[in-house]
Amino acid sequence: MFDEFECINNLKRGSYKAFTKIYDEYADSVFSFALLQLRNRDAARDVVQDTFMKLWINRRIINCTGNLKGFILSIARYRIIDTLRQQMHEPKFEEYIEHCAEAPTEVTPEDIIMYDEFLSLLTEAKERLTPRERQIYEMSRDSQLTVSQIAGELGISEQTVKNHITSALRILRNAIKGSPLIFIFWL
Amino acid sequence: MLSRFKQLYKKYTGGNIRPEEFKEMHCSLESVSDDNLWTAMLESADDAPVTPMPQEMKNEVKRNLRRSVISQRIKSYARYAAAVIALIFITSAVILGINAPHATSSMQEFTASIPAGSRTNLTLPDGTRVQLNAASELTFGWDTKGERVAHLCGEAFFDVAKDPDHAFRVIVSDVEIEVHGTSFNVNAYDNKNISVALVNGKVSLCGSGLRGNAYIMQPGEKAVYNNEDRSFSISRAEMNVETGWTRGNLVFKHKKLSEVIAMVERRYGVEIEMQCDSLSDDTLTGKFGNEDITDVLSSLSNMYKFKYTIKKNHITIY
Repeated sequence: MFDEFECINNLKRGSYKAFTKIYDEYADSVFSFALLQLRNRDAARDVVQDTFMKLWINRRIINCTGNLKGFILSIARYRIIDTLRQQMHEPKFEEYIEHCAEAPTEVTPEDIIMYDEFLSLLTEAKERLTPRERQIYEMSRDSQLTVSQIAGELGISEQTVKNHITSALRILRNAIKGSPLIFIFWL
Repeated sequence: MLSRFKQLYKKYTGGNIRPEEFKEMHCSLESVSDDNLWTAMLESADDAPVTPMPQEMKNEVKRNLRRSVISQRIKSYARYAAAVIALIFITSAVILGINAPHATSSMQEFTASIPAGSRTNLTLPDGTRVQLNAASELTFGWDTKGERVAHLCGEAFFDVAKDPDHAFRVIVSDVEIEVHGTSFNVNAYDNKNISVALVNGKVSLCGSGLRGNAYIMQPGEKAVYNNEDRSFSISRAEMNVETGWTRGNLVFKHKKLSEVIAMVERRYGVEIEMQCDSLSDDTLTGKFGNEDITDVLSSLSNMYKFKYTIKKNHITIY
């Protein structure tokens, strides 16, 4: 039996056993909540670890008289909001949303691809690029430089940069053949 | 406008948002406050199905927590720590509980994590200066009485800002160090021993080994607390050994080779696999300044006649 009140009191006294009991009871709730917001398994795992680490570090000053689950979620709040805001700014997250929208509608919730899976698919596909194509693709997508900035930095013409990006995107699309992946181009 | 955002957010978490709707939501996200975003998050979770954490991942995180918390084995801790210096601010309302009567919104908690291979200087919000060594984490905040509380994993040098009305306490595992305006070094890398060296001023130590009696340290003293048998021992500190790291040196005196190797791992952010166990307990004394990792390894190998290979961040000694 999970006695929440007793667990909180023992945790405050520094009991690691009480801490693991609380973890066993609530890790799923935190994970599920973070996954729903972030759609990213790796990030949701980091939220769980960060949250319980903070719970332990601050165990002496916990002020929770009931609803431990709500209390633990409130510890997770900062990290979830911060990760969400950061993640939504990534150009690849928009690509990810496009990708999801293209997926067949009859998939069950378990089959929905998560953002971290999407990113590893993309990384795998990048292996097929030449070093130059890859460098220019990363400058364009990861560092978010404009075509003229890339051209200036590498000392090549803007047209060459455009050609490289077009070719890189074609190769990536072919590499992820089978997944209905849509790229948004800006040239 | 907020209700429109919430409606889109719900579609996003439901996995059926259109790209153009996502763009709209993304644009309005800037102007949505954290409080309103949080409400949208809580509402979206109301009727959403629960996805339990995969068992393997749950066990992995549990192991990570155990490593960080209990044995404070720094090597694995560094993997957990962020790859960049992460400064995390959270409102104390979160930490003290949402209903905490003493919490005021101006109080913030603050955490700094330093990965292996680097160190940093910080000024805490109360003006205290802290040098944080590699593979260390410091959390700083105020308790309900407004007293300053710092939790430390790893090693740090504190120069505490004077504030007679608000005590400054450093908590490391079982030990509490209460400060009366002072500078001192705390080393808690070791699973077993936590050491405190006092440069000047006055600090008192509390811990379960002292059964409620605080020990008041004098400048130049070094206190070592043994986590296993909960004993304290006091000796004279050699400050250039204790605080050498704050000047970028790696200084060790009568240390086991295995401990020196752990120091090298943290300082250079590398992983060292020691295959000649017979040498591990040998003690040595020495100092490295700004040498790079290959210089350090070649001088150790000259001394002990071992061979080593370097593959990226992984070093094997055999």
